[in-house]
Amino acid sequence: MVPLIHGLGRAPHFVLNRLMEISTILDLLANALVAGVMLGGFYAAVSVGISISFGMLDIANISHPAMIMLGSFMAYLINSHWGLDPLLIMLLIAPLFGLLGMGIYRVYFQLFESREKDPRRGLAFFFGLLFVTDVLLILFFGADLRGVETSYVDTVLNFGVVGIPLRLLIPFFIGVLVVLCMHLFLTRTFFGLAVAAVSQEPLGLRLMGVDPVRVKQIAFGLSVATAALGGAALIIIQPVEPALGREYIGRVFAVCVLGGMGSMSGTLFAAILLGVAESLTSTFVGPSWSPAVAFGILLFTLAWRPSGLMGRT
Amino acid sequence: MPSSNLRFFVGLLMAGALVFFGVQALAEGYYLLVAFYILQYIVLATAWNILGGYGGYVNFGSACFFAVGGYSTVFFYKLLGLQTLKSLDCGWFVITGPYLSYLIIPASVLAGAVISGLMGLGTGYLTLRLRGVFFAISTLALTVVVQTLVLNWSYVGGARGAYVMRSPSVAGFASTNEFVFFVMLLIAMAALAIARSIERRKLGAGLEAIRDDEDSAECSGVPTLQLKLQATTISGAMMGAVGALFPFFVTFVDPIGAFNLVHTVNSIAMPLIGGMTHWSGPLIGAVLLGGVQQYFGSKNMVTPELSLLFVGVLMMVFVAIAPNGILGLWQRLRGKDVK
Amino acid sequence: MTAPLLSVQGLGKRFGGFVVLDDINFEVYPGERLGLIGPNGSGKSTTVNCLSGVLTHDTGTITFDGQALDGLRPHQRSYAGLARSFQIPRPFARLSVLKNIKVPMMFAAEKRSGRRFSEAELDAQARQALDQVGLLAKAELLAGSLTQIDLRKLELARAIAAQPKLLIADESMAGLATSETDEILALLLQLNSQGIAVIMIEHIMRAVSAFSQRLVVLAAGKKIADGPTQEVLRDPLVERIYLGD
Repeated sequence: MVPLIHGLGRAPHFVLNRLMEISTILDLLANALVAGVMLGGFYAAVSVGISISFGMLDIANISHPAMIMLGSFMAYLINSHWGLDPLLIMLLIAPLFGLLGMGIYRVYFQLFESREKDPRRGLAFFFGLLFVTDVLLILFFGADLRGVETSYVDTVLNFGVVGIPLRLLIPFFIGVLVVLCMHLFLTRTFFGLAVAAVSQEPLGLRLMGVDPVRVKQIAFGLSVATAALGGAALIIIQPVEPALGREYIGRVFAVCVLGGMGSMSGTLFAAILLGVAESLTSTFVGPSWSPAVAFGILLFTLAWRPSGLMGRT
Repeated sequence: MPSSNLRFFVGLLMAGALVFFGVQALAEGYYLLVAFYILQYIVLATAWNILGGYGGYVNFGSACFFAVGGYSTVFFYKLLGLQTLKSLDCGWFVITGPYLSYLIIPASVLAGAVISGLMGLGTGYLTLRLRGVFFAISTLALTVVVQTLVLNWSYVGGARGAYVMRSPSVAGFASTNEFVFFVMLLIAMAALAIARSIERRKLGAGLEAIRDDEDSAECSGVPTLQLKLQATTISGAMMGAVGALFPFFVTFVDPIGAFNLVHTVNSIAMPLIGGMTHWSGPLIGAVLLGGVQQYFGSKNMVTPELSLLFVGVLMMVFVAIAPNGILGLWQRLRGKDVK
Repeated sequence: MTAPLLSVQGLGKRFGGFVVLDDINFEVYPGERLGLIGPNGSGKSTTVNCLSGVLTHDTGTITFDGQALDGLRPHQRSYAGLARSFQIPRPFARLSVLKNIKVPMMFAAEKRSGRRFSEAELDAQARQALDQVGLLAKAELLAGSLTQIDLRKLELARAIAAQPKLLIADESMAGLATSETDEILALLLQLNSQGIAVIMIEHIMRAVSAFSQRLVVLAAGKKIADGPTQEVLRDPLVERIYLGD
């Protein structure tokens, strides 16, 4: 504490400094919050797939982050060779990834889905897929960072003290759009309703002439397709390297679990929560703590939200 | 049955002696290196199998438990100023240079075991009340988090890594490396004995019941959470033990090497390929797979990435068509009912 | 007037907004044979799951052998002497039939007896239990390879191996042929003659009426009848519930 007599003369400066500090902090806070929300929208895009495959189909697809990275690198490849914008590439590769997802599910189903089989095998299978993809990416692209060239990569929109880079804003919108589309699909289309029903009422579906296996296969394909979309969005935000995928394991499952395992609106809300938490942590504690935030949220949710997570044998 | 115990321990001691004196006789440092790594993998695979094979709970964080053991060594080294220690006065007697390792290395192993064991207990306590898949995902995320923490912890060297200076000589052994190798051999033998002991006792039976049907096991009186926690702690402690020994062998520890995915992959692939229902499975898997990786790695025929790729693909093949591993295939050949 | 072995008071359970059990009250006396019946969806299985601790009930109290079971995990309830078999048999598929019996002995029975069983004792007792249900010849087989009737026998044998005071037999005859049903029935009667109280949950009326001394009837989560078997079966309300049965 500055002694009163000594400080009297410096009081105005003292107050002014404090006010500036506070305004800086508020500045940082505002920017961190907005960035967090933007990031959250993007996290929703990459997590939607897990909400479908794990939340609704009960398949612990831990290779999902690798699919995201694969999407990013595909976007990089196509962008660097043909100069296409990632947004366009997204639309091109999503169907391909959808087919890939369907193929993966086919294999998974043939080998592991029947009830006698060990749940460990499915986990080992997806784990294998995760790091085999990871290693292949390293072999093909090396460990260096790869980015894309877009016209808007550096543009920042300014709203008063808050600056929103387009490279964050666009993935945010993509995320919201993907969640919205998925929500509409799952609630308004016949096939979407079938997906929602397939885990609980496979018999009912069969009686309606719908093959549950086919439904799951297409749903899984959709989930991998969204990974591609997320991956392409990721490379808009930042340059990527294969190891980046590891950070997303905690994130996507944290969002799925916190979001209520399969709810689209829950996914969006949880993703934004995560984005904001990470952004605040990054700004006020340090950027290297981000993975810990997701993990912490995951553990917290697992510990305090038992219904729907337990007793689901 | 006491006689089978006797046979096991005699066999174990004989095998241990064979390995040690065999490596000594071959006199080339290369064999010591290979044997060290294979022994390390025997422990990692055996440790993983206690929770994963017997209990059915997959741990994707072996590298994390291993690295935490390694970094506990680094930490205590720095904390206790062991770098510059020339001799230690214990009151009654003084431990001088060539004998210091007898104290420091086993103590480090113990510290690593305790810390990793506690980490296992903690993670388990938070996640083992839920389905196994959540435990698996949590261990995966845990690895990333702990690695990030270590990367940013300058006290233990951060991204630059840390050196662990060891005694230039150890009394009774040709080199410090040889002593470290000897300690590893002891740990490996202990690990196999522990696994076998668990397998034959209540803990093993309880874990297998949990693996097959957890609710049913509960209703049969199996205290599932307790047993799962025991398995996680023991498993983590074993991994931490060999992790803590590792810096003494390579003298340099860094986060990328310590947390390397290859430890996790191998600790799963080896029991899977060897066989998850018996203590000999991880042993077989570690010797075969470890041997292959060491051979091709030393000849510089493959890069670490290709090696990882090979193990990964092999693992997936076994998961698909021979989930009971080599042991399972052998049992099937003998016409026995396969577990 | 002997004290009840099991006392269920005000048992309630809901899943989300859906009330599955509403204020269920009944008692079971030592050595008694109680039948628990009701149409599908009436809450029988939920009651069993709440009793054994696999589900946590929302309201009410379960008292067993003088001890309140509320909040206790299933394994702790088995230590108190409560055993249950599962509707769809849930053996330890990758363990041998013999080991399947040994597990409840090692854990529940050992705890209940208060002393350690030696390896030899366990083996002998397990073989004896298997012999009792006629599965001794299949002791070394993997449980996952057994036939339906054998699985059900094993299921009951496992429950008995825990040395319970009360056995809840959850639809242990479902899907079996008549002769097989009789086998199970004879087994349950034999157990009861050894002093074990049995709650039989069944749809097969002739079995339940032959076995039970008393009946508790559930419908839509509520108890609608409770009394001596023949009385309950003649109750017009019960008849209506089982229209045409």
